[in-house]
Amino acid sequence: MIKLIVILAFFSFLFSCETEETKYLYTEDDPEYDIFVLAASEKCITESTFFSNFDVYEEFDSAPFKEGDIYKISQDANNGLTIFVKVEKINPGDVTLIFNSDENTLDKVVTFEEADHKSLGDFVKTAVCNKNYSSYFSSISGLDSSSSLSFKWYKESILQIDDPDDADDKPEAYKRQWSSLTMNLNYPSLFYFYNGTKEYKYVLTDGAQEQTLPSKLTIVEVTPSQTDATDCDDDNSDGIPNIVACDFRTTTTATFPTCGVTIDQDAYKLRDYTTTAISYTGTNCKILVSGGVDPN
Amino acid sequence: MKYILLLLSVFTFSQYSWAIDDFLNFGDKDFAKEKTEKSKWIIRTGIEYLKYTSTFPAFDGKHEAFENSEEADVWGYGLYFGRELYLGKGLSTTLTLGAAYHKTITKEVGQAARDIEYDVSSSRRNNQVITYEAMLSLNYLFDNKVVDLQPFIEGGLGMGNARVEKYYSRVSVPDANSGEEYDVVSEDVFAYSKISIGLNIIAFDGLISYFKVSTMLMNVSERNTKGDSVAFGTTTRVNYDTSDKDQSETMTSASLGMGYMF
Repeated sequence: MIKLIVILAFFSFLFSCETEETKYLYTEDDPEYDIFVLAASEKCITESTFFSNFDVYEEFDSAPFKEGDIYKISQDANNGLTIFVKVEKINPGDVTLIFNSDENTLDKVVTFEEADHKSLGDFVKTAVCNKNYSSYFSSISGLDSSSSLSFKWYKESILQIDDPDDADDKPEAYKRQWSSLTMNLNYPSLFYFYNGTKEYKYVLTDGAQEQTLPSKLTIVEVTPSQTDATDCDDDNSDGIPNIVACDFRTTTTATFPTCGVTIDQDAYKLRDYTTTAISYTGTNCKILVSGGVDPN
Repeated sequence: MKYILLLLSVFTFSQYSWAIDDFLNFGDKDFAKEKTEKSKWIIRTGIEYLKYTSTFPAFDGKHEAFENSEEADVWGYGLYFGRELYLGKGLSTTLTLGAAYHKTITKEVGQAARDIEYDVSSSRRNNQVITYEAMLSLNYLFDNKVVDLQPFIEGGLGMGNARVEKYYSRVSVPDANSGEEYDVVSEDVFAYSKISIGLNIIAFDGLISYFKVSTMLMNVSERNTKGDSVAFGTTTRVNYDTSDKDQSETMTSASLGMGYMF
């Protein structure tokens, strides 16, 4: 026993030669608290490799995507919708994107400006780095990545508040959406909306069973090819009809609506389940309905 | 530092003692009479504590303030070698030479809040003291059957040097003038006289445990201070480079350890 005490005392001493302590300076009640929430947010942004690259690509000439690139957006695997998007033209200050799909209502020519990219960055930076919004933005990963950032965005609309007489502590009717989205800097940042999963849960009337409507969106870059085995067969020389939506050589964009992009860089403050940071401006410029939620 | 201590501990606990089945178990084997009443060599090693007083330029920041004199608890390890001369009738005197190395680093990080992972301030205090000393003690042995007790009174002279670093910084938030910084190093050269009282507990075969407390009158012959600070609300650096001579300090120390008489 004495041996044990001596040995423990000795090693306790060894490790007491260097001590490190953390103290917490403020609480939510202190006026300094909000100052350091902001400081921590700025530090998070400044130290992030992802955001550093995001800012570099604010000049679209420096971005990894280039004119002629084609992307395939698939909703809910083979059962949903497929949209092809072509980077038509990179201009000073903006990029022209052609959206083409079998669902003609989603066809459009979109001008995505560098200013929109910056505004979208401001939205994401605050959303993932400011702890005041951590209840709504979670599962953040990729801040140190050079090209990919993922986060989960929770939104809800309460249709009927909790009945205090019942046992649970939940609203009686609601619409909620969880979006797990990934922003990939190899693509125009606008495409983050089309990259991830969305889950819509709702109870429309008191007492009804909760309904769940999941949705999965994937985006990949495709290369036009002459064989049907590829995602983008733009030729019928193999005897199999080409994938029309991917054959931008035959696409007549004259009939496509011309759209602008509006970024709500304060969207992180909004709770409504239909909220998106991105919307299109212009006549017949619709955004994809996903996860059962129509933001149009 | 830790590796040195670890090596010393292995030396102390393994080579001499750990292999002995009755290590620190004071059994009925009395320290042999032929040894207690003879002159003998002694080696001692143990943990050293020193309350070291250092002098720094005072700092009166908005968020942190330092007095110009500060005491720090410094821990270390000592190694001593000596010769005990038996005078008769339980009395003996011991002449010991030895050295001690003390080093203690204290760091403190000021995080904004429990739920905000943002380091607002950091401070670091590094105390390193090395002493060399010669001591002469007068001992009296109570020769018991189970364990021998040997109280002693000891006087000594020593010299040494110390390096004390004191660093503090606070981020410049919310604006560029909101930060604070203090970064000072003091290097002391000193000599001291020391008086101690203590107790040796002597088990069979010459194995001893000892404890002693000391008070030291220290004369700092040379104290070189280097560093600077930036106060809240300014970006101007205040330089603290100074050199002082002949300052006196009174300090306290204590030792706890083990040894072997042979």
